[in-house]
Amino acid sequence: MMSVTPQPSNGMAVAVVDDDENVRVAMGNLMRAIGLSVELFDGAISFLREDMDRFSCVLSDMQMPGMSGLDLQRELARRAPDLPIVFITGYPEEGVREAAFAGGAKGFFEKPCDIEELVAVVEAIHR
Amino acid sequence: LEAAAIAPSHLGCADPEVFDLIRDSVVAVDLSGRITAWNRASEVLYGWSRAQAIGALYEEILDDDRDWPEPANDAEAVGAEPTEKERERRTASGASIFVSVRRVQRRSVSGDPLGWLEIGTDLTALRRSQWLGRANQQRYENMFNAIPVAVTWVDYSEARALLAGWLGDSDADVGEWLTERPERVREMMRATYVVDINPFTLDMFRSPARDDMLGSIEAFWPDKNLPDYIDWVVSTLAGNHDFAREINQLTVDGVEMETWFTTRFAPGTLDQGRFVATLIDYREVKRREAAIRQGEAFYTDMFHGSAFSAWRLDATKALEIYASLRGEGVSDFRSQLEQDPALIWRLTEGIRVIDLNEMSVSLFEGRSRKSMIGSSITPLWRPEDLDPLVGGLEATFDGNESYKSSARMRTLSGAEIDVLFTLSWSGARHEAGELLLAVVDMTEKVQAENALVETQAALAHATRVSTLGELTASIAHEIKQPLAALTANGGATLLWLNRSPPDVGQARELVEVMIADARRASQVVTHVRSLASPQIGQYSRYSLSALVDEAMKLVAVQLQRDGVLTSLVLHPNLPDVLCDKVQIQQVVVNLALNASQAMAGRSTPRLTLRTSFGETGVMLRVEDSGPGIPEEDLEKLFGSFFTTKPDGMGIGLAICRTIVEAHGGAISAHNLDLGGACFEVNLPLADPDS
Repeated sequence: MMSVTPQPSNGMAVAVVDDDENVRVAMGNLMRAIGLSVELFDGAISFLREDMDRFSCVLSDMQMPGMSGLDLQRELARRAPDLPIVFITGYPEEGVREAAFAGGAKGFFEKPCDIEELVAVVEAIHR
Repeated sequence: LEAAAIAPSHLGCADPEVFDLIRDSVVAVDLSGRITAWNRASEVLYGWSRAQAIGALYEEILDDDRDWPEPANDAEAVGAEPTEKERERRTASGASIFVSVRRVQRRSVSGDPLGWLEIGTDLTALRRSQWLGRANQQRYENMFNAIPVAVTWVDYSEARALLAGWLGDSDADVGEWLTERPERVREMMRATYVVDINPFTLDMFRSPARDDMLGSIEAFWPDKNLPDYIDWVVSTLAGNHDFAREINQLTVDGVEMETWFTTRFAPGTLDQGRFVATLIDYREVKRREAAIRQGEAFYTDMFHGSAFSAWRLDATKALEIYASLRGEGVSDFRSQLEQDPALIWRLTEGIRVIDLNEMSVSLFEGRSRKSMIGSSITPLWRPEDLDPLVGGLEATFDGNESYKSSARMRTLSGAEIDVLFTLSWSGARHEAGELLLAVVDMTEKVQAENALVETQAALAHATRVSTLGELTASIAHEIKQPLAALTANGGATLLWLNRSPPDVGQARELVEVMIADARRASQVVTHVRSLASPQIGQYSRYSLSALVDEAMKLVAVQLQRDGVLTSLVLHPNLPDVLCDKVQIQQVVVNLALNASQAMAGRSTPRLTLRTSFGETGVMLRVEDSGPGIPEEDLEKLFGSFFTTKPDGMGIGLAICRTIVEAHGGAISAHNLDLGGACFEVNLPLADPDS
């Protein structure tokens, strides 16, 4: 059974990056249910316009128009190397998972993902 | 009273006057060859009175050999059937007649030979009418062939009488006598009359009216051809029935033309002085010959210069076998073949090589063209690979104009070759019982054009992946998105409910979102189905056979690579179907590639696609020689995600069914009696008015 300890907000938010609006909103719902504040972005490009210091964690799709999850990870490694990133993908392609972990990803989930595991990973990041 | 009704034994002792009641000639002859009985009918037929005939020698009276037939010596001949022969004889006036003669031996009560008795039936009139029938038929055939022939019926009896009067009992040489007297020749010509003509004669002689042509022949003969007329007279007097000579004739308006002149007396009519003369206009013939030669030259160039193996085959014997099969009521060639497997070799033995090109000699490893001409096509076929041959023969039996198939044939040295062969027969060649066979060597093609084949195979594969693989991937992704949202919202709902106190308000909102997510997932499924359904406005009328032929070109190379022998048996005259062309072709491609995969690893994979009339519309059958479908799988075959392939997606047949059903048709599968699976697609006909 899932239960939740409200997380310290300390003014920072979880960034949810997904081009599918329904998935994006649903992930936001999930993050709010564990007491985190959330900001939603429909792609990596719009997200990267923001100030990275405002975010405690990034929850990102892998396959997105314009810029992929792996591209986003490489960009963040340059601009905010300490910002944790968790991937949720609809296309479990060979090699992508390995590349994501090699780049320092905190989690890699396949849609539709195991919610308890996802919550555990996100909570661990915020502990 | 019919002569035949009287048994031979009765004739031996009958009163001679009884014979007068018989309308056939009855003649009795003793052992010395003298005539002992001669009835009324004999007097009428042969022109000799009974008084003249009785006691005279048979040979002299009838101008016939009395030793025919050899008298039977054994006693059993008494009851034997009379022997019968047709004889040409002469009457008392010298006219020749045709008589059907039956002879029987006469014997005494003690069995000693007494001589023989013969019954003769006059066939002269019958033979004459038959001959005239043939002349008419010949005239018809000539006209049918559009060769211009003038046919004239000529009465020469008066001219002959003139000549007989001049010569009397003189034994002068008729040819010399006439050559010295051209005015007599002219006189004979004036006494030689045209009594009837065929319509073309008017054209040829540029005669405005029929009556201008009837009457004396003199005006048509230029002086320089008098010697030819004399030769003809001499030939006729010598008893020749036929005469042929190249002569010039004058048209009604006096223009000279070259003709081929032939005359013919019907058997038994020589002395009646009537004959048929045919004249062929040489200019016209030469013109036509030139045209034909030109056509032939083109054909010959094409035939001998072609890069594929080309054969002209004489199939008249095979066609005779077909005719007799049909005469026995056979309509299904294949089931006949099952009952009588040797039929196929009788047919191949009945198909002989008329001609073949050098390409054929080298492909089939013959010694020379000459050595192969005249032989049968039997050695070219492997007994293990008869399907394409059976298909071709079935198509000829059914009267289809052509048949094409891939095949494994055999060279004269016994090597196997993979080929594409086309059998065709049409028009004039068909009339002559001639087949054309074209053979393309696929073995060499595959080797020589390997690169091209690879590319095409890759392309075909890409096409297949893009039609099916991409669709699957997109289905998977489209469904995963709402499911991902659903689970995330579900997780959030649980979390709100697990708080203490539970936040039911949040949970309720999220459950409503989840219902929307679930609806979206089901919309994706609906959308996928609609993708596989024909789009409004993309329906057009197509021939199923043409669609199949075109679709199979896309996969021909792939099938060739898989070693599949593919035959297309496409009905040429099916009514159209109203369909989305690309989708129906997708079905064809899917079924063909499915079959090929099912046959992977089999020694002789064969694929046959047939189009035909179905029960309500048209039908496509895709038959393979694979392992068939397990009974328990037949039901679920067309359901989604059914697959027997390790990496299969299991949606190919489901999509086929969706497409076919969206067209108002039906798809089904069953196993063939002789092994292998058969997929049957039935499609309704297009509304004839649409």
